[in-house]
Amino acid sequence: MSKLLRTLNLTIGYKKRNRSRFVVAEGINVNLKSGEFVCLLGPNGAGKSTLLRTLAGLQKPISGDVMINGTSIYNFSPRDIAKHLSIVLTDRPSIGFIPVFSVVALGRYPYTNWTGSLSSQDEEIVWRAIRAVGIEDLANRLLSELSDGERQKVMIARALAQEPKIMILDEATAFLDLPRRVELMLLLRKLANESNIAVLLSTHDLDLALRSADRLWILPKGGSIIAGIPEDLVLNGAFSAAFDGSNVVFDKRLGTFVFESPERGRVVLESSSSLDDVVTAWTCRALTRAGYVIVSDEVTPLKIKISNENGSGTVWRMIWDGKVEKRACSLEDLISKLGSMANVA
Amino acid sequence: MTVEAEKFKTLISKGVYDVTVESERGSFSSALRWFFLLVVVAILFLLELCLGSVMVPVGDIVKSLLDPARADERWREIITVFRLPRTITAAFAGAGLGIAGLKMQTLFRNPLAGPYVLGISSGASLGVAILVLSAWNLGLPAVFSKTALLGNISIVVASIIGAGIAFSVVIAFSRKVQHSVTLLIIGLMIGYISNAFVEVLLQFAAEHQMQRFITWTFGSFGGVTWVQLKVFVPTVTMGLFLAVVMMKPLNALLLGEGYARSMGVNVQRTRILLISGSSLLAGGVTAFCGPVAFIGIAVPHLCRLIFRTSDHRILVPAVILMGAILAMTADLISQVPGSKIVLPLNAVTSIIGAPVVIWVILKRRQGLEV
Repeated sequence: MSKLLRTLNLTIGYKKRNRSRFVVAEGINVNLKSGEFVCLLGPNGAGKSTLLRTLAGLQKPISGDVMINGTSIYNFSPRDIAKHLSIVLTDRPSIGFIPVFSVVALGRYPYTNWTGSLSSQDEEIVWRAIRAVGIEDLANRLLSELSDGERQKVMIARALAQEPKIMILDEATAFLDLPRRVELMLLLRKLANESNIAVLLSTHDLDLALRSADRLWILPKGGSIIAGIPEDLVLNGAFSAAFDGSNVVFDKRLGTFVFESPERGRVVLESSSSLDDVVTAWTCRALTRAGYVIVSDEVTPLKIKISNENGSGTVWRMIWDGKVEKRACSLEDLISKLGSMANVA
Repeated sequence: MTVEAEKFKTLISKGVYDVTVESERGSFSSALRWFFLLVVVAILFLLELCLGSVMVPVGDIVKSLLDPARADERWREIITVFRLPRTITAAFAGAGLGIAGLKMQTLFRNPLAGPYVLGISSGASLGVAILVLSAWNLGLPAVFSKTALLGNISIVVASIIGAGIAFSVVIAFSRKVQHSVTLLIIGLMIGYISNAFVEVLLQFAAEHQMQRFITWTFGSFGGVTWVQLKVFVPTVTMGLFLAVVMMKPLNALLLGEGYARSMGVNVQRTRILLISGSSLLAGGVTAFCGPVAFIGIAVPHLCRLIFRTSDHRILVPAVILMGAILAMTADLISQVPGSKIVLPLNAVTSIIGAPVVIWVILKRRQGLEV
């Protein structure tokens, strides 16, 4: 795979009016290859949007260069950049009367004449983009009638109709519910892999990015960008270095972030062998969330036994110092009774 | 048959994919709408010539226009000296203000934008007031007679510069405000400030001059001479032409500046062209007709409703026709045909236009966006 887009020692930021410079990130050397889906991750304020704007040629870098196929994009005319690169933004344009087809057709902007009329070939490309995103049944609807998820798909179809070699999406999955976000991520990966374009998405969905991206770019606050495949970045600690907070840590084993609640007590968990693991697993989660640390030692006086009783389903027994103290028939019940027990103890 | 094709076929049979039929039906009914607009323009043009304080028979109108030598001198004079220039002025002023409003609404992505409500027309008045008063005090009153070409050109230039300055101030504020109603309020304030300066300046003017200026601020399509038309028509035509060549970037701007730039629009240049285009139109119209209220904001909304589109390739010609229609209608009403009464033009346009603004504010979320 060839390196489609490459940055050379890029320093991004803003030039202020008094000519001083506000550097957001520096020493950026990354590349994008055709056919790959890359997620750009980074904490708030690390400069993800600034980087994307710079790569898209919407903003000048402080120093360094962005090259597409070996040519600096600052030597491109706006129209030439548009033929190589298209974008999808977070903001939701509100337009009164514009059908979805016309919005997607605006993607042909750099190719059409001064009136913007579509040739039959342009029209075919617009339909192809609409089909690729799966919004055929929306083509005649007005943009203003669509849901956020549908609207974002329309904007992706528009970006595709521009026939780019690179598609850049700035937090395009924000505002969407989880199923819609998963759908969109999978769609982007499919587009990248099947249409052989490079897709770069900035996102806050770390979990989803870890699961679906071909590669990740991690932009830590004040640091330089780190690129690699998700699993490598997790193993070498780059992932947790960028995102761990004072009480949020990345659990490598679980592959997700866990947070520490103030400790309220220690419990030993015992489950009868006839029981489903799922009950045990969710009991662990409930206890951890409520601030109990699950241990397996002999000195902890509090023990919880889970068993399946005929007739009454799953039962949790709280045992203090070997004597049966209380029973609970739901996790909610268990947590509230544990609370009152802890107070007594 | 592939699965894809199969799916496509079911979509067609369900009517979901009825694009061709839809567009044919669309073009048929849109042809009807164009025909309707053109007919209304023609009828109003004729009515403008026909009606007024006295009614001119249609036969005499045709004779005065086509065969002036044989026409009744009295009718000919009314038609060629008064009513024809007035009608041409109304049509061009309406088209110009409508297009200025359309450009501004798309540029600001704000359905409440328009040359009058954002204070652009008031800026133009201020430009004219400064020029007229300073020339008077410098002893150059003759330059501003209604029949002197040079004087008329300088008034248009002053008016356009005043409009341009007011526009730049609004643009500077628009960068800082998010909400469209806020921009409207800032525009109204800029209008008040410009008008206040005009009033201060008027204190230094001679009585009869002050009277003439105040009458001018009521707005009127009448009293424009053929010499003035030689300046007015090319100015407005240039502004309209600038809108026609900008239809494509205007469509791209519907998605916002970020998207427009990413599609290859030179946003900086487009903004400058749009600002100068609307200043040219608002300034040019204001120089001769006074600050005419609400036509600029109302016409684009009426066209979006009639054609149910935000596509500028349809809106630009539609706004030109609809602007002419609305302006000629307002002019006809203001003359109260058959009576000696003449109402101030702005009273009529405000009664038609201000409700449109209220309606836009109330209905905003239901497709009345730009």
